[in-house]
Amino acid sequence: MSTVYESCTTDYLTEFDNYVDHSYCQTFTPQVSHTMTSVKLYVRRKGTIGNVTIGIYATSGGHLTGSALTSVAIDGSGWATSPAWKEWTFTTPIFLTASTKYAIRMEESTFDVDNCPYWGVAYKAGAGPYANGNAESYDGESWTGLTTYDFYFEDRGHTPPVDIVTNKILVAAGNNEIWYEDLDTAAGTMTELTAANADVDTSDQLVIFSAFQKAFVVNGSNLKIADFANTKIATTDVGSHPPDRGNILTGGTSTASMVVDYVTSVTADAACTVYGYRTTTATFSSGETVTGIDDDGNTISFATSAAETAPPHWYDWTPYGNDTTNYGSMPSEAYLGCRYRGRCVLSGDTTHPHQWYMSKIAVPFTWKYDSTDPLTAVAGQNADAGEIGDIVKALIPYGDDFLVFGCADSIHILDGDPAAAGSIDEIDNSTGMFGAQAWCKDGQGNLYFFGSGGLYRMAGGRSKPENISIQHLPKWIDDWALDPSLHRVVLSYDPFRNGIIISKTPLVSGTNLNYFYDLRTEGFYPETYPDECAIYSSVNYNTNSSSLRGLIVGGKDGYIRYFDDSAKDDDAGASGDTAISSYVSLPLIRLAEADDMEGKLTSVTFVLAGGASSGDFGDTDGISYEFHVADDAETCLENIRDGETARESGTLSGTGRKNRIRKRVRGRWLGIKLYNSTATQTWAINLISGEVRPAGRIK
Amino acid sequence: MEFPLPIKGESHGFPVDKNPPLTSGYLNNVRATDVLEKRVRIGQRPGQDKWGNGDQIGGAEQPLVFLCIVSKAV
Repeated sequence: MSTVYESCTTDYLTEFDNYVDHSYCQTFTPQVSHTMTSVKLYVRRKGTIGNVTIGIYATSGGHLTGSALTSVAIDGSGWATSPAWKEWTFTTPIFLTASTKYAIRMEESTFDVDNCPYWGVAYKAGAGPYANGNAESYDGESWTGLTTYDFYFEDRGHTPPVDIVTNKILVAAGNNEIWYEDLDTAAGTMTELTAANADVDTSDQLVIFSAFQKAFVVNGSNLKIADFANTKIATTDVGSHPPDRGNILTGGTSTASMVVDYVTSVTADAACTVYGYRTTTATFSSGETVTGIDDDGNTISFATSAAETAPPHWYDWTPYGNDTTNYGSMPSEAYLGCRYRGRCVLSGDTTHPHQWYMSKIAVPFTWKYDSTDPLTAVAGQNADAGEIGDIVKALIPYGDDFLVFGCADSIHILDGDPAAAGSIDEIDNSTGMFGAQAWCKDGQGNLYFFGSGGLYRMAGGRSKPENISIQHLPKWIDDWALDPSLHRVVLSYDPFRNGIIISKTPLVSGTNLNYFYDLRTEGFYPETYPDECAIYSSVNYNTNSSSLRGLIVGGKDGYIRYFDDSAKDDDAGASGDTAISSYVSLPLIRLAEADDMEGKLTSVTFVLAGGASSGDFGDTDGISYEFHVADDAETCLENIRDGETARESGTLSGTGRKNRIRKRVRGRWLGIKLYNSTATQTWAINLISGEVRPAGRIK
Repeated sequence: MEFPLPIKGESHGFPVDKNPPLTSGYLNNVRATDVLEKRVRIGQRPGQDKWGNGDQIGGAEQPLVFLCIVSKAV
């Protein structure tokens, strides 16, 4: 059964006749995007008529324009001479976009003044009875608006099914502020959660994890919640029986209803703010009496001091109602947090660095241990698993299966639930984890982290760590000379490029250093970014908006960025677009087999990416080349790295196979360097080949 | 003869004349997979561009220290 979206069915006046050079249309603007399957008009007949065709048209400048987007005809010969509703069902339904004006036109070319259809019309002084369009008349040359008239019509159809059941919201922390993605404005638009301003210290360690439609901020003694789900109501006097978590409250005037999630106080007859999930479309109003029944069967009753407030909300993360007697105590400070098996996990308390704390399952506000409750809150001191024997530096949950503790000098794994025979085992004591963001997972669930010897991989997240960088980068640790007080290490998984970025970011000043580890080729590729683009944080954002999906990184200058294949430069914010200086030395080429012999390169052919210019394949920009030779490989590579004058050099432009380069160089080892540091240019190369001939002994 | 491209990235763990095949001793800002067609053949890395509406978190040039995703029911 179809739904009526737009219509005019009031203030009826009369019928207008419709024939050649004397015809009409009705413009309308859908308020909701939908598929129009039919249109109903209030019509009658004069004389003898045949088929009556209705078309839907686009508009321009408020008037009908172009050809029909869709149309259908019905037989009008049997119509009565008094008006009645008739329906035209389109063979090809049309999708109408909200806020876009369209027109319904009754085709007139086969009718005359004595034999024609009449269309029922309404009138209302001012702007006519229908607010989102008007009747229009056509004299054979142009359309004229009849702003006080609207034809009787019904726009019928349906909205396409949607599979959206969740929205994703990005939350970011910087400059002592919390910002969030405002989906009501547009996806990708960030706005400040003003209540959080100066309530966090981003110069101190800070992590955020999500659970129960909230963002939990863990920032030392600043334990906070950004709540995106609950409705807030407040009262200056909560009455004798403050609500318990899970109680249902109902507004006496509004009939609004909510399920209580958290309250700021459980003190009777005191001020209290209640956060709960509203289950009705009705909203709580100011000054109304809210009632319910608490867990002990007592009546809850209080008056709201203001109308309800919609999310997001910002408040202190405390035990329920700040009642430590009944709901336990949270650590006085924490710097690490995550969600594991429905529990909120905290660690990184500097006064208790080996300790970990977990809330009750599915209840972030209960921290009291109860040996009779299988869902009880639990901590290292009251669990068989015990505390970690090392300083905890990272928490890495693997679903509901296990939790990895990345520590200063070891890796531990908690298997299962610590309140139900879960155990903590040491997996490795030869390496630790650099910091809270020095890890990531790939698409297959393998864990990567930066440890004492470089980049490590734990297959499936729980096997013994394997150093995968030591073979190719044995000096990585020496070269980076990391100091936790001066540097941050961030690992970022890029799902679209199947690789991991390992970033060394100076906390104050200095050059950022990065490696891209390609999971497909298992190769390491060094990278440098403009100072503003140094990576401070990252997340793999699987948002509903496809154009915004993928790895996003937090920069040193406060901007969120992503790696864009179409970007040939780096957007360095205030410094503007910055050229990417890219270069590569090919694997050195032995020009002769025998140790004391030389070879002569007589020609080289380059095949650049892009095929024919402007064809189907993406075209490279130009690149420059250098040829270096030496008697030994190390000197040859050193010459390239030290910027020694090349034996031969040049620049290539265009795509595809280039003309053969007949520059000759002689030596034992050949090094070829390719490079481009020009703004607004990028490059790729398919193949390099050359002709080499023997050239005698090394002189 | 075809000169191999270093699609296996950087390597410093062996003598220069015995480096593993398809590796390079000197490179920066290139990746094995190019940005034009995503083929494994060597090319310049993708540039960084502002995400979404380009809002500056904190309204000042201060580091963006953490990013998190919250799932919310429609």
